[in-house]
Amino acid sequence: MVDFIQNCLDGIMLGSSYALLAIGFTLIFGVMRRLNLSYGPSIMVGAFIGTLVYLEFKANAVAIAAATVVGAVIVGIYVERLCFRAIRRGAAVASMVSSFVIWMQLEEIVTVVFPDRTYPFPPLVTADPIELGPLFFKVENIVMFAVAAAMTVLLHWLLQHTRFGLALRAVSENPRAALFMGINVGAVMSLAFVIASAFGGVAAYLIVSADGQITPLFGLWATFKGLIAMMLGGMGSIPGAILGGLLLGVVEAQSIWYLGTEYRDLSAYFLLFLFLVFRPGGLMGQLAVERELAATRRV
Amino acid sequence: MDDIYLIAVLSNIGMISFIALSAYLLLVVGEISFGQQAFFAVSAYGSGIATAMWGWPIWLGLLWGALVAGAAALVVAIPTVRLRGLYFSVATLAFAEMVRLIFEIFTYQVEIEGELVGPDGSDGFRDIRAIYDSNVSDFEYLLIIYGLLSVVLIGFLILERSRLGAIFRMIGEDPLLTEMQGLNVNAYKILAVVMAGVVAGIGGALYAHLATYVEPKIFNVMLGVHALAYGLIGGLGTAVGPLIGVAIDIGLLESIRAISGYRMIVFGGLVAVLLIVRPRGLLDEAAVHWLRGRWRGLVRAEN
Amino acid sequence: MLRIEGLSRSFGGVAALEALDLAVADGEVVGLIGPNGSGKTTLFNVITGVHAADSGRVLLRDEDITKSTPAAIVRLGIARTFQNLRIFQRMSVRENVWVGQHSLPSVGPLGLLSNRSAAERARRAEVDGLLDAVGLADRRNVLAGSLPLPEQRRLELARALARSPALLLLDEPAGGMTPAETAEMAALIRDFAVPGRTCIVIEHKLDLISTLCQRLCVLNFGRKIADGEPGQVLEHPEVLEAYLGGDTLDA
Repeated sequence: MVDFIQNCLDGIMLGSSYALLAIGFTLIFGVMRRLNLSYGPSIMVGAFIGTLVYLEFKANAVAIAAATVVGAVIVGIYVERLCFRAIRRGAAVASMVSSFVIWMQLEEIVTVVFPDRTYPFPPLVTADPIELGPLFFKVENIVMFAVAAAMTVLLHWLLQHTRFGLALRAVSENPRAALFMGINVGAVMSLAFVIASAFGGVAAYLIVSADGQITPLFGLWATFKGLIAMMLGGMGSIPGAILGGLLLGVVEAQSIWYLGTEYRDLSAYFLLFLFLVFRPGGLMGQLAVERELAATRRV
Repeated sequence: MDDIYLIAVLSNIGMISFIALSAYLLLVVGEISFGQQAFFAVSAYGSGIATAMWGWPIWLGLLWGALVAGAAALVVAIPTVRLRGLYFSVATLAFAEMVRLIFEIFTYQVEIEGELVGPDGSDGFRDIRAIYDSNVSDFEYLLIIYGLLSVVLIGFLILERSRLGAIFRMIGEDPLLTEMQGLNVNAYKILAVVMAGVVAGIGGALYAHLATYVEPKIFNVMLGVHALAYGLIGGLGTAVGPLIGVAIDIGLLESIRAISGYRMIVFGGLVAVLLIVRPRGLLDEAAVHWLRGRWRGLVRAEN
Repeated sequence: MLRIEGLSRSFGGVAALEALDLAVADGEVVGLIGPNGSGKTTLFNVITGVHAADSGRVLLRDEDITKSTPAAIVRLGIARTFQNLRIFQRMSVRENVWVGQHSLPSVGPLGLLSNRSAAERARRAEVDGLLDAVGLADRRNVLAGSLPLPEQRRLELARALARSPALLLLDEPAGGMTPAETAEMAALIRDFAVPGRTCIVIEHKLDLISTLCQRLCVLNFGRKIADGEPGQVLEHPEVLEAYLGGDTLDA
């Protein structure tokens, strides 16, 4: 029983990093209705810029985090311009494939500039795990969890209580109607992309600093973990993204313990497949699925 | 450039063309699959097991691999046929990753002439030697690859002009309107997925026998996403499109060795710009329509 | 031919059709009119299986088709056009009509692949005949998406006729057309589409309705408020009220 609870706790801690990734993903998908495969790679580039600042200037944590976020945002803008804004609406596949080739491009740029592949990344905290009775908590995971919670609150405030949030929700609901209401749809989408990239930068910083190192593979990992967490939670729902991330973490932790490491990803994908077949809306997105289904039958 | 290298590059183009055609067929039906590498993998393993472990002749092994891939595709198609858009894409991704991860732990070996032969989890599957045992040279194998590719391509070109091909295009453009022409959209989508699975399977079986060694990590999602990109680069208007995509990527860029280290930096940028100008690829429907019109005009002028 | 009994359908609490009864006899041409949002297109959608009925039945030649799929309904002999035009834009004009024949039983599994058989040649000749009849013969190799609107409407009509349906549902066949184009369309429907089949036409344009229909049925808020000869129906006080209260008849 203690094992099971400890696994759940580990899973939630692991899942909070997935949740961080899924939030940015969801924000982009919610507004664009298109998949940005470059999401992981662009925050990976951000983390490499953070590492560069660390290696060159021996900078402190704040500077490294800032460099990571700024880097992620700049690359995010590049991706948005090239793969999303420039490609007309309706060509969702083209956007997705374009974001994929840009992923490949970013990965190669990083391997050219950083030929050693694996680079150190300074940890944010170096405290021992906290013991609570028979259970252990890792401090860096608690930080991740707290940041994920804070981001959710911030996003909720941004979306529900600001004029920008109202415009954003209008655009994601119906871009054409929003355009007629005088909303600058392009600007709103770009800003959403920037916010998502900034959140992604924070996520990248926390995850990479907890790992203590960064490799170009982080891009692939981040894209797919974020994507799975988003789908489990339900596309387009921010609370769903968090729940999806946590669920993914718990399932992975339990499979590692009870089945072995080689079953970690297998069970995650199996769960995802089951969800898609039986409940495509995930934990929180059933409404969106029904709305989309209705849209395909509009005559 | 020496012959061995040339043959290797051409073989590679040929085998990757199968998976590109496979992804293209689903793009025509309007679905994006991140998972065609799964059928490539299933067939690579299936045909390898048949020839190396059961001692089947190579042609039967290839056939068997394609069939197993088709069966695997049917298994995915039935539960996922109702899913659209991103839901379908992610379901195919999940399936393909499951297949890859199962091969990471799948062990099935028998002793042949004192040696253990067969898939051994993440260590892969060695000694699929059927073509070397029967003294097929690399060049002859290249001919086999392109022979089969021609058969498949001709099949695609016939399909394009047939009612079945039109049905696939209709579903890709407007599934509801297709249904309103009296057609069972889901049944045709399942058919398309199975056909795509078989096509990818042929490529997988050919690959396993040329490489003589397969391991699960070859069949990761990168293979599938590349296959998708080829169709979109070359164009969705005709089956020649994905082949152009493969040739551009592997052929052209592989042969210009000066940019080998920067290949994706150049290529990625080019493709991104191409997709802005032509979101359905070089040979999109309008281009193919125009070319056909010109062709008809030429034929008429000659008569 | 078609009998509708107590048909209801609502969208999010708003009744689009409410306990609607309608019977259409063989060979009849019925005009369906009513203000915007009165449920005309919804009726077509429920008949063709695009939307499920909440209650009530749709019977085609006494066969209950309420729960059938759109594809099955089409195969039973109902064809329709769409108010906001639905064509395969990335296909040529000729292909757009040709695809209408795909589900014919005479095509069969082999016919899906064969291009040169005698039967297939005959069917392609039929397609060209249809295009000729709707006046698109010289446009047949053009991509359908590039046609102007009146020609797209004629293309839809040709596609609907490709399966020689017994019952034809036309949803605003002259929508967005000038008076001259409307008159042309009315003549085309009267002389070519209607003979030999049953037909229901949704239309706002009274000159088209009066050219085609012996019978007029008026919907308002999902209910039938009048049904009978065009002359009588248009005098009906409730009809006048429905129109003058909301839209005016753009006749």
